[in-house]
Amino acid sequence: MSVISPLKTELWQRVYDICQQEADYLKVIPTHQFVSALTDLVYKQAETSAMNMENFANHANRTTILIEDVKLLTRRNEDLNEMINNFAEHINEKHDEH
Amino acid sequence: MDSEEPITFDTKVLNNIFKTVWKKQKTKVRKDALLLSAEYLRLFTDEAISRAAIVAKKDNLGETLPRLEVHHLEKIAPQLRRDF
Repeated sequence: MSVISPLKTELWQRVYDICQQEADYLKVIPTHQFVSALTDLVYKQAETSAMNMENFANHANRTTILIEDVKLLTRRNEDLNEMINNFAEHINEKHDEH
Repeated sequence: MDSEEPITFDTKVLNNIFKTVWKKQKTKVRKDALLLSAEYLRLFTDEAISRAAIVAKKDNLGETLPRLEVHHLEKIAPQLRRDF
């Protein structure tokens, strides 16, 4: 049996909550094993994304990852790209309110 | 759906996960980029559940509350990673 890292455990908490929320809406029951497997998948995606974003920032001669680097992750998927762009605007709006 | 904010990932947790894989010590991420990353991963998670649910429902026609199993996730994972 593998030991689950504290970081993965923290991620699991949210994945579990998201599963519960979606499950209600979709009328399915996520098994415990499903939630764990999904956590592994999301964790891996987080790692891959982080590496890609570091590369994008480096390519632009920066050490700080910016919003444009996150957007680049979704460049091959039009629908996803649009959703991410919309959310990015929403982040800026909230920012301006302060 | 509800008008409340959907549950999303903690930016602190994500930052800590990111730090474990960054190659350069100087690499950092801005707060707004972290928030956007959280949304990206939330969408990823949502999509995984939705796609797995489609498979589970197909496999269990007639069942009112089909269970989401690991093999449902395994089926949709490769294409999901390509799409994201």
